[in-house]
Amino acid sequence: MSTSSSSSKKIVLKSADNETFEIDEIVALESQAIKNMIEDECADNVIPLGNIDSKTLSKIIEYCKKHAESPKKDDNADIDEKAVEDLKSFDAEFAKVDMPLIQDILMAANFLNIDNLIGLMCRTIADRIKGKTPEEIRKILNINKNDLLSPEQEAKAREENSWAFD
Amino acid sequence: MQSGKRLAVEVDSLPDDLIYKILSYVDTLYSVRLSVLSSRWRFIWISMPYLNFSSDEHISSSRYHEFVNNVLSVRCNNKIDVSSVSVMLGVNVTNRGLLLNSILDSILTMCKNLKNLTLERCRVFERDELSDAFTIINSRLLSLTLKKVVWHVDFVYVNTPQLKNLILVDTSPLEAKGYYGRSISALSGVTILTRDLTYLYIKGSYFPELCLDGFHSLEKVDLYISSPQKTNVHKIRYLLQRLHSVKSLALSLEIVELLSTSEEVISHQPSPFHSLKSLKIYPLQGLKPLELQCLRTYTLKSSLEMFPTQLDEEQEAMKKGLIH
Repeated sequence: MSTSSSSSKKIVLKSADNETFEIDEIVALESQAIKNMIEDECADNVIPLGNIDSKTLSKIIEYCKKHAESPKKDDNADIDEKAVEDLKSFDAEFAKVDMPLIQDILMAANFLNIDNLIGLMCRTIADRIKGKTPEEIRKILNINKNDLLSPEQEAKAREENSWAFD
Repeated sequence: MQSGKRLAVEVDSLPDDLIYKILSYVDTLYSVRLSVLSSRWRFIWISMPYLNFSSDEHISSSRYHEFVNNVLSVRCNNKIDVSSVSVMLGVNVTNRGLLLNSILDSILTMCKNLKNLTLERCRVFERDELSDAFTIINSRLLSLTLKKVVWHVDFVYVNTPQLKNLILVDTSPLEAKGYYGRSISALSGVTILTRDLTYLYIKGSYFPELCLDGFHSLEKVDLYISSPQKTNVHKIRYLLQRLHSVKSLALSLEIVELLSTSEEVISHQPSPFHSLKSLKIYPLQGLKPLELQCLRTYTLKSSLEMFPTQLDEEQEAMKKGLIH
């Protein structure tokens, strides 16, 4: 896999709103989807990402940069524990954004197949709904009002699964 | 005005498999309760491929078992298979040793295509009265993770011919004695019957005696043992010498130290690592920070010599750093 890793090779990503981002190939390789494209040699100089806007894409690049440069430098072993801690606090800070952006990042990470980022976003959403009432969760997840259960349907749902509710 | 455009296309617009991933981080009990959120969420738990039975509530074991059985009996009639189950029983759950066994029985019989099983913070007792071992027999399991498990048995017997990944984290025997009138055992052996294990990960202060049926397919081995005892040296050596096919190996510095202080110097034997491509050595947390200065005082050279020299440049540099 490391056969063609001329380390300073650049990749250009183009967002839905036509903004271009030039990044190191090593950063782009954090995305399994882009990695596959490069390996199959079907990546042109510019990779268009028609479903990702520039705000989301720049967040994703921020994440990939940090993760690409972070763990592998274990020539001085002392750095390693620090690097792990550093990455953890980076992730925690990174996830402190509003729900619409979290969802956009999650969708984009899913499209680009960046496993760690998918996990981070899913865990963030899970943490935000834990221990909340259904009403609070509907607000947090912005659940479609047309999709709500009628009082009768809700009572039925509770009754069917009564073993989980009390 | 951008936020106006976005209304009503929130998490609800995520595809089901991402919703499943989100729910894999919450207790399944809680996921079932989310069925009242909306008509989309009404039946989503019935097709979740990942179940997470993690409870630390004060709940009686019979009620929790009933809950697990209810989930499984509804869930396992769905055409989407349950692929992963994780069980975490906190200290507040009463009688959690017996509970684990009954939950496991339900899971292993009802989830026919289970791929990944994780047991965390559980008390492990023998599964039936006839054997003194904790036994898991399953023909489909690909991945088994045992994390912070408290052993009340001497032996673990895992018969899972398809198993690819085995992960043991902090599985040290507990110090306290005589819980429930049962003594807590020092786990003396783990027997894994599998044809092609490819990944082995052990982290913690304790190195169990491993009896693996198939060493020949191991490709990646991570051994992060923080304070291996002198008596472990044979077990570790036995394992290392069988890693003919391993491509990536990571060791704690403590293991390397132990090997280099042991009397039978391992370097006098031919290197068992024919296919090694990557070697990493880490000092573990809990150990005082290691200055290069201290590193020089250890006689690491001899044990590092057992590794082949055709590693890449970065690792070569690391070896030199350690040796001189």
